[in-house]
Amino acid sequence: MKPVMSFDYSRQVVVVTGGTKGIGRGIALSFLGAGARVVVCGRNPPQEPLSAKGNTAEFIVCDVRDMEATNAFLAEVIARHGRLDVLVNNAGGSPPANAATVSPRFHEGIIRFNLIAPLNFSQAANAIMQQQAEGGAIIFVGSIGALRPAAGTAAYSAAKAGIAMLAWGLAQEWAPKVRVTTVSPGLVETEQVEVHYGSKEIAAAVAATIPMQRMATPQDVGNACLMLAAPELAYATGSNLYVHGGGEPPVFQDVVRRMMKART
Amino acid sequence: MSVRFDYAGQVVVVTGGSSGIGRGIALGFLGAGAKVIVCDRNPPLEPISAGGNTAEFIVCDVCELDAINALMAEVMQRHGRLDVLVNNAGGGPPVKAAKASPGLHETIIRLNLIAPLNFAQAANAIMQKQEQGGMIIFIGSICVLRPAPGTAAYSASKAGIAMLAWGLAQEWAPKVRVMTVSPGLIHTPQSDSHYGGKEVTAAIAETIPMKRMGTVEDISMACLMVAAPEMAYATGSNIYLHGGGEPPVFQSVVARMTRPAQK
Repeated sequence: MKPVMSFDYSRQVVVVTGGTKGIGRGIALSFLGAGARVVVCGRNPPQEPLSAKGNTAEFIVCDVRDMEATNAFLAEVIARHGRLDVLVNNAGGSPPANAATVSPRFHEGIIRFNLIAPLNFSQAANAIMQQQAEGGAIIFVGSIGALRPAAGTAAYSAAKAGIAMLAWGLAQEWAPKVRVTTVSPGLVETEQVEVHYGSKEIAAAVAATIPMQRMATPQDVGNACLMLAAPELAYATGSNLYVHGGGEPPVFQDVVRRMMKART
Repeated sequence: MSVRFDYAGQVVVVTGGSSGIGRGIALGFLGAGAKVIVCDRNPPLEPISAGGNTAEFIVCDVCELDAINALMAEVMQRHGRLDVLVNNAGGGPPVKAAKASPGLHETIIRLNLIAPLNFAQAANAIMQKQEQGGMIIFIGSICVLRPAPGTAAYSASKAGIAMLAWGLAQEWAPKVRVMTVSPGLIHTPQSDSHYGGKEVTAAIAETIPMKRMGTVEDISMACLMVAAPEMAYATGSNIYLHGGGEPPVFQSVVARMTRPAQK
């Protein structure tokens, strides 16, 4: 397909948390492809260097739940590059958790990782961006979990619903210099997809329930980040963009279809 | 500019494209190389052109189903395809819901919800037959998020638009993508008289986190971005261009009444 939209992020410094694999890796690759200087952080380095169009991401180790590590990380970014234009708060996630039986500590850990850590990271980034003539853009990676919970994700979905409102609130406080938006992916096909859904076959059946007839790719999310970080879309600050392929038609329709088919 | 578009070879229809936001959207697609057709009840005051590319005008009252079908037939006859439809036509005068006639209420909902649905249905019938499918954009409003006195029926229509776009996205995927672009308060040539003068619009702009009203260019840019096939997976979504939205009014009241007296 002929590209219709192309971005130029050359000379911009972009940080992607949790950028070594999965969605974060896709986001980093999108900005690398658009010419940005990209720094990814994670608890472990990427398995192989992240490169697009001859442009390679830097890696700095950082556990985003550790405020001191966050401050040290951003100090290192500024020491190396002197500026920070885009922060993508991508690090997050949770194993399925039974809300009735997991420990309060575990619940708190999920909310710290998915809501508090990105807030802390953003506060540190905003302090830098407010001092730059061009300001900056902060993107939170939300989730379709902000639209609906799913069994096993109560605390995670609450954190992600919180992210969408957090981004809106920060957008109000930090405008006009710093813009804050959310990109909320639906079901995403990453290297973990088989682990997550059980098998390739199940993942394909899940994909068939989505109106777009496929799961999102990390690149879909990366494209959305390129769009929302662009100064041309500054007035969208505070918004939450779902990248969910049309979302999830209600499950009762799937039940009806399956049972009618079994009858014939 | 950090973003570039190439809509060359694509045919774009903008309803209500003669003035205001619609005209701005038309200019955006013209600048990106698209073949643009605007429809409206009246032609633009002067031709709409960008980069030597001029929009065609076809008269159409979007509330008339026959007029919609005639417009689509004319577009197909001239250009043989339809890639992007922007359902922009809409609006409504401020009306008190207690006193408006049922006829007026129905007209507001017909213009802002039913007409765009009819238009989208006609466009989808064409787009489903095209190998590349197509894109339908609805222009929503910040009224999807909140009503305002005088806009009950209008706001209900716009809330409906956001859900309509999502529903159509589910039914018409994967070939035809459907999205909503929802402007906040937009500065147009009409907005000063709409809000009661330049001073008033300036004071309103101060209440918006971005410290300005939106522009037609903000909306046009969002349309160019979401119509791009690179954003295909965002079908069904609604993006707000509201400059951070509206902080609650109580904060303004408190700030005003606790401000130190002026010298």
